[in-house]
Amino acid sequence: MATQTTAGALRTEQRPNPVGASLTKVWKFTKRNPLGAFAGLLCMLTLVAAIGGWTGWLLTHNPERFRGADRLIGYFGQSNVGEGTYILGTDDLGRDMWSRIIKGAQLSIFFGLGVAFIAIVLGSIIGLVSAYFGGWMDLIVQRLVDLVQTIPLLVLAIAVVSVTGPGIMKGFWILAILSIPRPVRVIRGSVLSVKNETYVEAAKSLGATSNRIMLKHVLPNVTAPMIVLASYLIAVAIVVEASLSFLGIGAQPPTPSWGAMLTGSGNLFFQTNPRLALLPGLAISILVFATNMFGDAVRDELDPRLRGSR
Amino acid sequence: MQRYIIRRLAFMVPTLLFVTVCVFALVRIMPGDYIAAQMAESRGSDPEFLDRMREEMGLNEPAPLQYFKWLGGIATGDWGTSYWQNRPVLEVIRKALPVSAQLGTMAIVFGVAVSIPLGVVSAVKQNRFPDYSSRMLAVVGISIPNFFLALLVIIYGAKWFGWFPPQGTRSIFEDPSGNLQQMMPAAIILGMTLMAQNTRLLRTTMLETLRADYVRTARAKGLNERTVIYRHAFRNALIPVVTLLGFQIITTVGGSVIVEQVLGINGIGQNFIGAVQQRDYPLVQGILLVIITTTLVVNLLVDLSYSILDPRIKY
Repeated sequence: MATQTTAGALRTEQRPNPVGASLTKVWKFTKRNPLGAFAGLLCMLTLVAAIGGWTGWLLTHNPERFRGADRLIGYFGQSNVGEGTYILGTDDLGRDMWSRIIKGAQLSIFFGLGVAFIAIVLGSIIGLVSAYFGGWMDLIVQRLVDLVQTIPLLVLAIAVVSVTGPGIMKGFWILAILSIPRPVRVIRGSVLSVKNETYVEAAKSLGATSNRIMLKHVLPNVTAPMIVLASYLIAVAIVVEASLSFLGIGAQPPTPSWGAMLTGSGNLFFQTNPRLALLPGLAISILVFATNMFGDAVRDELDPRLRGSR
Repeated sequence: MQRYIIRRLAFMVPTLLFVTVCVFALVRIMPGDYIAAQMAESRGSDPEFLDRMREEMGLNEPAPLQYFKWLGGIATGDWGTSYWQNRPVLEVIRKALPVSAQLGTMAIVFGVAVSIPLGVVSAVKQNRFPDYSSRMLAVVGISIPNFFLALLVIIYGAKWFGWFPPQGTRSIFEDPSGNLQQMMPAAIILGMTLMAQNTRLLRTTMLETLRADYVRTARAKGLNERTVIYRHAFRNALIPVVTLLGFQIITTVGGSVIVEQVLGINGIGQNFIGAVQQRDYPLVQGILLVIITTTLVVNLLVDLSYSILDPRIKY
């Protein structure tokens, strides 16, 4: 509650210039945690790349078109068929690497954000209900969650994808569903610890309904761990998508996916053109790095115990 | 403690039964079966012949009957025959499991052995050169996915050292040097993420415990710094690490599927992917069962190890 008052006071003081105020906040954050700010910048850039790939304004060429005459052109190579300059060269089928990397960002970002969003929304509902009402429902939910968590995500995903057949949307839904247990656990734990607080009791004695207590009193208390969890889920989803595509059961050709690029031309031509494997691999690594670091920085900001230790 | 162990073990039985039902159901929903997939190539799709083959393999019986036959077989040591490899499933697993177990153990040992000194030094020398360098290594370690790292090792191993990943299985007992040549790089690749995550977590928890009151007390009563760090701070910093390790062992099992596939190691993971691609029901079922049982046991061991590390935790 105390933080809310301070935030309110700040807002009234600096009302004349809200943009300046948030810029000051960003600047302070950058000074406190330069690595976290850098990671945040990388996340933003990837997001921009994904949007640019989706709308097409960052694509210099059609990422899926084969050009027989332009195979394996190096960095900044000129096209032989009058298609201009290839910034990152072309792959073994003459496809523009820059456009494929940008288009691949779209898939990775979609997977990361989409999986985390679905898992957190569904996981929150299940966790809230399970912890708040307890009883046999809680028991069954917890046993199921335990079970799904003891099985390696990748193994389960491979098994299920192989059953439903390869396909990127199937992989997406499977991954989203398999990611639910973790938010369920986090939410449930937080709810259990909040449930017996005095203010919840007070709300109850004032005649608040269960729904109101859950939404107004319990849920706001679990947002901080949820944000941290989101960054974890995003990173895992990105890696699992890349792994599935790498194994050939995720994104199907010609859809550009970083994982699929690594195993396809990257794997075949790595002796002569390591570029084909390095570029998508670096793209995955940078995005995973940025997500992890940014999540950590946000956690440090949100956790009052860690704020003083820097 | 004993009662707790017995209760946990007893609980594993219904869990495992539930797992067998899930595994069985999952594999049955696969579109198109092995017979159709296989025969389309060699014999065309003569429906009569396909039917006879299905009959022979028991694929035409009702699913519950198939399930109980399969379950009975598991209990008596007959796990069915792999269509794809034309060998008993149990034999395939018996050959592949030691390879994967060796790889997994080596990866975990590598991860833990490297992360403990890195994490402790990082916390003790906070914000100095050793801290920065070990944090750097840890950040790189969590950022690079294992399949990319494996590919990098193959590319630059060949380019710089003329090293190619040896294919096939080499027994550690018959050909130790060949075995290690194959396993060492694989284990390091597989253990990298684990090492990085552990280093980071251990650094954080060490920083917290080094500020704790009992550490200050220990220093105040004149213990030397070594004893303070290792006897008082380190042991308490380990508990979250062990929790994480439980999760990590599970992820390592998942990761080994990919690393084995990329480096051509004939373990459980490679067999699993092959079986999935070949729609080899019995083998997929068998391997899933082995993997899930392993992870369930690991979970139990992790829970039990808490009470050894922290005497306050009693079951």
